[in-house]
Amino acid sequence: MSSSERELWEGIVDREALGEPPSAEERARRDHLARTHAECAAETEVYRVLGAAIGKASRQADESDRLIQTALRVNASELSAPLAPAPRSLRALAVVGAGVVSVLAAGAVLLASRTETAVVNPAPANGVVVPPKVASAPSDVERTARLEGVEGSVLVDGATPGGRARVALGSRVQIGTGRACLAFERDVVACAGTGSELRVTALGAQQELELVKGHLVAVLKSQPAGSHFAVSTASGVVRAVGTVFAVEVAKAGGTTLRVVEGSVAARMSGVERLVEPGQALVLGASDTSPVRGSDLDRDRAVVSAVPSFAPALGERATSSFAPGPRAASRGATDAARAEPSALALLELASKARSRGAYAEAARHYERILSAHASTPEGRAATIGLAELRLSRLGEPARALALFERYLASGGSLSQEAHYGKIQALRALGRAREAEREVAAFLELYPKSAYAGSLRKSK
Amino acid sequence: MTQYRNDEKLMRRVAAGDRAAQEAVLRRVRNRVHVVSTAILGNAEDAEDATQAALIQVLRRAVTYKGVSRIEAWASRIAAREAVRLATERRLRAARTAPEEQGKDLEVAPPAELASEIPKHIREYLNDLPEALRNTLVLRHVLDYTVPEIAELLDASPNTIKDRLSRARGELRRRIRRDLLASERAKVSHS
Repeated sequence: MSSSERELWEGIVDREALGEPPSAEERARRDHLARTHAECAAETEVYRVLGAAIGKASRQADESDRLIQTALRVNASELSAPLAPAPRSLRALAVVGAGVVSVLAAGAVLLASRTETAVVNPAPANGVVVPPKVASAPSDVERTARLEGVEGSVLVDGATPGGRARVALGSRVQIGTGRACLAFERDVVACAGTGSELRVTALGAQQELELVKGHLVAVLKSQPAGSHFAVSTASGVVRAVGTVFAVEVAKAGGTTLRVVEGSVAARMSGVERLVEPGQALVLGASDTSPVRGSDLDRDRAVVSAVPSFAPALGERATSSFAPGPRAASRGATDAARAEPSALALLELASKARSRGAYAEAARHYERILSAHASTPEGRAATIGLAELRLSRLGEPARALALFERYLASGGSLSQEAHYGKIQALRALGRAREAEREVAAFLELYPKSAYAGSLRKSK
Repeated sequence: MTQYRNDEKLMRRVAAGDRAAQEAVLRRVRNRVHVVSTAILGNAEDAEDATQAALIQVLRRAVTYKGVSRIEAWASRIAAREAVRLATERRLRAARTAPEEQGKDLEVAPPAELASEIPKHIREYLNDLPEALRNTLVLRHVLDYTVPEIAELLDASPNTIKDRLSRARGELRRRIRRDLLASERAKVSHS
């Protein structure tokens, strides 16, 4: 198997593994290589067998009711006694039996770990099997948010809450008149105003609220890696890792996001979009608009209670809404942290390209190149942007520079980059250089799909 | 946003404590949850523990179901998270309770008993991979999750997942080539 065939094979199947469907031509070439080369056939077989394992495993599933009945029992006992031991630990300890001893031996080590379950009282020595009590890190169900800054008529799950009530996963908070705030772990506060209704839909690393209706303002400190705070509505989801923003669901159902500080990723219909400070976006619309002063005043009123129970966040909220130039610079760090992933940007570029918004697609590609140049997406974006500049934006010189940049670092799209370089040289009228590149291309990739047309055009 | 209204209604009943609805949902998701657990953990006993934990989580988290995917797909994600968490816990616990193992690279998973239906040589290929790479490979190629979904399940960025996937595939490819080469050499020397 030649190195160019190997490169071709790896390029096609690896991109396919990352979720990029091969073209019909690539499929044909892939299948041909799998038929004619043992190592390609072996690789295909490994993945086929791995994929098939799932079907066989499903036939081996335990058809008895044992696991179902245990789950129902544990769930029922939790409802009647919310502080019951973690069921998984119960079952695991019951299953391992004597293994409890070894777990106990490691108890001191386990207690030091926040993520491990720690056994705090062992089974009695009289031989009676009693499930040991366990203390575990709180599950998402055991976590709660704190109700704060309540003014006016507020209901939690249909009942009037006591002072500083805890709000659990799944709880519904309704604000008739006035306002109320929920204080989450990791310095996240969300306050909602008159006529709002929200539901706690996730607690833990990913904290999330569903805003059914009304107006909500969130203030949060920079969240640790892997954590975020999100607000979902019927129109989409907005997600932040450290910022000040407002979400409002209109009576007609539309959702508006207003970013006061930092930046926030808004996702709707599978498309993610970054909204910068001082900008408002109606989810589903294509353009943002400047945040209006009257809206900011309403947002400020909703979070005015925050300093009383969360001074640090309150200070942030107060300064964010302070009159004068908006705190874009203060939010710069958070904006960087909320920068969408290279993959998200690549998707945005691809979608913009497919609807003919070539300048917008180019901007997305450029953002990938500036922030994620060394990633696979960065390399793919180099080619994507080069092709766009060459074929759609009439910028062959800039396209040529990008193709050459890609060829200098190498990659699975070298063939495409080389072919693009030839096209760019031709577009620039540098015919001799283009001819030299054609000869070099045919020598490197004699069986390439581009080879035929290049030979004809010589 | 809701696409599966009947599923959403059913899950509301589950969240409200309707035992018949709870049982119906558990019956629907049981096989899928078991498959996901087995694919990630391999070991039958661990897979059963993870299945049990995931079924409990399905009931606990019913209130968070929004009807944007079928209940089975939603439960699969819960199962994958539980299985990965269990695998990590078991690995950490094994390392802590066996001091003689501490000198070894903890990133490398102890050989797991993978599902018996996977041929031995492929099992060995997988066992040779570090746990993070193996989990990524299994989630992608056995369970058919997309890169963003795996990123969500493993709490990592899509770039990290793509990198792990590329490394896992590269490692697997190297081993396949090595074995093919060894087999060809053996044939030549035999002849």
